Amino acid sequence: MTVAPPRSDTNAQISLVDLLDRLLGTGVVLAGDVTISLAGVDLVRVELRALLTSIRAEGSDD
Amino acid sequence: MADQGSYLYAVAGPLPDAVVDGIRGIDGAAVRPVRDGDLTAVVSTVDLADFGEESLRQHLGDPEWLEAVARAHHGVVDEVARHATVAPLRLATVCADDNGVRDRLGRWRDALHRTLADVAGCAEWSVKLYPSPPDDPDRAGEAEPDALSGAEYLRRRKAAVTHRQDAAQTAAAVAEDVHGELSRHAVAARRLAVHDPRVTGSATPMTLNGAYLVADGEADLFRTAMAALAERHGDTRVEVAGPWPPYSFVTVEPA
Repeated sequence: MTVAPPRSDTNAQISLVDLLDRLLGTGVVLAGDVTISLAGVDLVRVELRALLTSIRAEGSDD
Repeated sequence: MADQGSYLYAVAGPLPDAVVDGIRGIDGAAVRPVRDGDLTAVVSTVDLADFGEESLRQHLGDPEWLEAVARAHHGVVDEVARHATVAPLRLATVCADDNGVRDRLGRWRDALHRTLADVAGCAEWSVKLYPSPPDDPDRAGEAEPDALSGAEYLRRRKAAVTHRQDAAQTAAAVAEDVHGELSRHAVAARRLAVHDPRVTGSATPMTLNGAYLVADGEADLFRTAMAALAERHGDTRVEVAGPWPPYSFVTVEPA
């Protein structure tokens, strides 16, 4: 494995919905020995709740 | 039982200390490399009061906590991805200590090498499609039903439904076309679940939530292809985002 050259692109913003899609739905899964596990958690529900809350927070800027 | 654990952000190949130095992770903690052979895990220390199984379950119900952790996780992954090929870990992967991290690097060495090879020199791009709202030329089916005879009302109502179904079929075909074409410009491609309309706030439902693994040297070609597709389907709203670390293309699950 060699270290890839630095990416020339600048840091691309990622929206919370896109981020949660990926961090909860994909990625390398290595069961931790603290038995941290997201198994059994309804991640879609978690994600939706977080997103709806963040949308409400953006909308109520008072 | 120890009250701190090692939180994993990503795995990379050999990684100089300089790449990781100065990066801050969850709760502002310093990020450090943990090495086993030619694999490097990018790790920081977290409080098990937050990341133990039970407290984690509770925290997941707290949107503010979840967003802060997700943003911190991404910040670290993205920073390292500027300098090296990375395989991002799923959110909230925590080991008891760095020995536990090394143990995992050793145990999944082959799979990690494979996934790093798969995504080397590539970044992830996102393409989302929203069809334009169907233009109901015959809106009388919904408006002023009192002014219409029963038969005429039903006819118009049916026409409006058919119109909407046609529009939905067309939108699905456009999504197929765009995904197929973009897949040809990508090393790998996936269709993720479309987002809930309550989240997108769009008048029409998302028809494509595509993720594309694109070689860095091909990014311009990919964008050109996307622009041509957007022109071909002028009545569809297109959202392109990236480049991101290759989150959607490193799914390694323990056997």
